[in-house]
Amino acid sequence: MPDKLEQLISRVYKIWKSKQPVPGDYHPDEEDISCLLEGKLPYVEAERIKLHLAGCDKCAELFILPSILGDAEEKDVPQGLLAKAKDLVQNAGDNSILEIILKLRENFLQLVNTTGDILVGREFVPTPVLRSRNIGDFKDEIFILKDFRNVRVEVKIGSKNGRSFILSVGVKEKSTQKPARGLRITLLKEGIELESYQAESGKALFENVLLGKYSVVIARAEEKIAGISLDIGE
Amino acid sequence: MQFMDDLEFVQKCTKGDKLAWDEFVERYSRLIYSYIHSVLKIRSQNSHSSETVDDLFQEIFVLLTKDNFSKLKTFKAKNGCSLSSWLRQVTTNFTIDYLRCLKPTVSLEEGAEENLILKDIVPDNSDIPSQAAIEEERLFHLSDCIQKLDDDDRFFLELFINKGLSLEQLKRALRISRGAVDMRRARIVERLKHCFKSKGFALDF
Repeated sequence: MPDKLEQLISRVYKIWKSKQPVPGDYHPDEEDISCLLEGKLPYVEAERIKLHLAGCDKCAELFILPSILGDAEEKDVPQGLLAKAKDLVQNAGDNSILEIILKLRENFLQLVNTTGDILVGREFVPTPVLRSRNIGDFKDEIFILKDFRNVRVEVKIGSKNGRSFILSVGVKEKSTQKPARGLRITLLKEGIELESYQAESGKALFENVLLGKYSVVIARAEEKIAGISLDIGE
Repeated sequence: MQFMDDLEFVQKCTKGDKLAWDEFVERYSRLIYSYIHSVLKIRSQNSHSSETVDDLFQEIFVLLTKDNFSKLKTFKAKNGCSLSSWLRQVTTNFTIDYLRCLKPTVSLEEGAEENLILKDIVPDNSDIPSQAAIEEERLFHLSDCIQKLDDDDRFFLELFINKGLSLEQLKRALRISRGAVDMRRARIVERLKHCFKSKGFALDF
């Protein structure tokens, strides 16, 4: 409960405010407000927006809510919702991603899912066939390949003591089966490029990669020709 | 190690790069989902089912992507402003709009009103109607003191008085330390007290 002087100030302020003109049609957009909250607006612009917020309850609501909420309590997003959100953007029509989901165990690799074909003995088989044969665990490494529009991508994943892994990516021209040239192969995590190689021989090796979710982008002349989505947990 | 900046990342998404989009969903879903939940919790008088949160989540992603990413393309990383901060605002805006649609005639600030009664502040003469009007007039006279404050101080009063932010929340909103909040509050109160007195308003507190 504020003291009497603050109650008086409050009353007087409200009387003052009731006499102020309503702000015009201009309303700051979401980027203006988020910049103001981050303290990144130039002084003059910040003052102009604050003046607007003082008179516009609708915009002020957007400004004050993040301050009231602080760091929102973290909630897990249901997997089904994530999948729906991802599906809003479809593959480019050429099946341009090789998805691999693995679990790294101390003595073996467990395949959860992949959109590529897996090497078993001397043949490559898709995941459903693998399941029908009750195969899911691989002793030291797993070899997966997938054909894209113009290239074949071969991925080899080897475990290192169950804590990290070695990722080898090889790319061949689909028509000739010779190593693809002029490629750049990049390993990313959360949008950050971890390693990137000019792969003249069509191969790139990423060593000591830790558990987590990664993307590999394979590009030629700045154009992405294939991609790998890699999720390796324990 | 090279960092992809927010704008570059968004541009990859808006060009239809599926890998970048999947990365976007992985990185920001938690933030958006948690924020919807928090805004509903703090701004709605009724509890909301998890289906409501799920629906809003999906609608926000549709908003971001529809019409060839027209909404996501409005993010320009202006002044180095972060994508996560922008997405928080988009989520807040969308959720508040949803609540407004539910209750178009009810103010979102309902319940935040102070229970201030004039007679608590000034001598109680309310049994004489004309006297109450005189007191109101006296208070209006004092509002000139508010006008004399600078814009920043008035913004502080707006957030503190009208919006009911706590001092801790003011600290976050104004990006200043708690000590600076306390000092500014004390300085404004002192200035106004001085101004009120100069206008002949007897303050016996």
